[in-house]
Amino acid sequence: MARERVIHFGAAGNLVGILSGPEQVRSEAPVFLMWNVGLNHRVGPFRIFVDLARELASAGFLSLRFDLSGLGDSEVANSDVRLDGERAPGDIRAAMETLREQGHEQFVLVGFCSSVDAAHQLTLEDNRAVGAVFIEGYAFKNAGYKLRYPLRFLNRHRWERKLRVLRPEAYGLAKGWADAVSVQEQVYKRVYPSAEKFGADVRTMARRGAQLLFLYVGGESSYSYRDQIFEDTGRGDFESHIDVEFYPDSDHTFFQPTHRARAIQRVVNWATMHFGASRTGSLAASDGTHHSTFSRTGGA
Amino acid sequence: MKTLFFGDSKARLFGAYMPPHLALGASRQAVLLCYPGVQEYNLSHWAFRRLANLLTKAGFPVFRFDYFGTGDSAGALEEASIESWVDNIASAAQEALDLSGCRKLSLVGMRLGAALAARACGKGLELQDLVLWDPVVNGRAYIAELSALEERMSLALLHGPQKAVGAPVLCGYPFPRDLRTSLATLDLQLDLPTHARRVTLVGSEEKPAYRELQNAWSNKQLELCIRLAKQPTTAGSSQKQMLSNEALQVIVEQISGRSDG
Repeated sequence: MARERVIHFGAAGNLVGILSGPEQVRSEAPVFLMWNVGLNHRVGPFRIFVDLARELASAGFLSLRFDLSGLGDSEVANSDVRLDGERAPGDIRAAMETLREQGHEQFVLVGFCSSVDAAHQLTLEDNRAVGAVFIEGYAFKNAGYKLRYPLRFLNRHRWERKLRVLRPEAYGLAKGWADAVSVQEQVYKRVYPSAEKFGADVRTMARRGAQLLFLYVGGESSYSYRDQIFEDTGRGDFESHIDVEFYPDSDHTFFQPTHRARAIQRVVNWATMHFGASRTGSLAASDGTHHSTFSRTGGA
Repeated sequence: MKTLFFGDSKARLFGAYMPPHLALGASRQAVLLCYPGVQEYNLSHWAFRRLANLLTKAGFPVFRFDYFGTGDSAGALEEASIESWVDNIASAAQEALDLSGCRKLSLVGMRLGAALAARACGKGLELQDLVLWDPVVNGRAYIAELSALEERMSLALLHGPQKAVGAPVLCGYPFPRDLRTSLATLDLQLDLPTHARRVTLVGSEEKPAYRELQNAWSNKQLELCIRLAKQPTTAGSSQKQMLSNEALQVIVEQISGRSDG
């Protein structure tokens, strides 16, 4: 169970977030940062960031889930003249500054779909980002993907869907039913880096010591086998800093609760393996009550 | 905006309070906003923030909150029940009055939030205006609607045409039997909001269920005003549709027209 409290931060105090953690936080353990996925506010699709934050707290990690300027409960400061593309990295740095004032120097950035853009940029540029989780991040239709593309037609659910799109009346569905729900799978159009730049960036992040976890899914994604990412990054000494998981049965937003739980557990296990906090009896359980601060300890 | 955790220390709820724009003269009446069900919560969050902004500009202090097991509030959905959510509304109503210093309260509830609010009002929550925004009129019909949506979403997302009826999952969220059972008890024809001075239904489309509700309440000497605002906000609708300007304007007009401020 996590202790949680609301914090306001940013130049004008306009950014709103929920700090979630165990009763005693190790100051050397990195803080996990999560922010808006598309137009979703800070709780994330299907409340995934709340569940992740609370599981991380149970494993001994502090996290901050927050709204970027103009999204969720965060306002745009009157003095803010930044372009949209500059706001996310700036707001994430503001979160880092606020937490640095409380003694936290290292961070793990959790990007999910569109929020991968800022996570990628900052993990590349900012040494305080000692790790990053990229959930449904950049994927490129490379040779391995194209080779395996026909395999997706072996999925009987794809044919079941096709039949119901072609003949909805035969299945008691309204015409256009698929369009009405497809918003759940919608991916916001973004400017992707090239596959070459992506590969070079990942190598740079890994070689400077950042730990990287990539989670990909099947469905309509551009990812079709576990090690597809290495077609873009290449192979080498940096690989020890890269963990990859591929869930072919999951969809882009992890619609199934069991799939979300599996992904969350993967992130928590990865965090524990690389950053050391552990589930111990000394981490007092709580109830989400409002505390003025969390206590910190100097070591594990 | 003031954001905070409030309520029972073992089940803290997240709330966001916005004071009125004082330049226009503050109302003596606060407004409580009640979100729809969990599967529509994310879609409605932005609309609720916009509605809160419009109401504060009209001079009202506004409080919105997350039910237990939803949003940033404590707990998991599996631990929630309709009864606990109705109690959450009563708790949030008191918080809204305490934060604003007002003695009177109006409430806007959307979809499931409207049905929960009506029950809370029937149990004694005193309201000036109760606005039922595209309300869930009947719990059983709502479950059937969600089950159909679950099936379509499962198909679209390549999880197969599984039937959700009776399943412990609905529309991407855990939905245990106890929650389903308590949700099925919701019925606006029986949950009379007897402690509201005025009740208005703001609907995105004309539905027979609304007129039936109006007639049923009329037989019990309870007046229901129905106003239509054309953009749909029903289950499964897109984010675009949840950003309904017309509905927001109608709601602000309704609350403002009754303001004692």
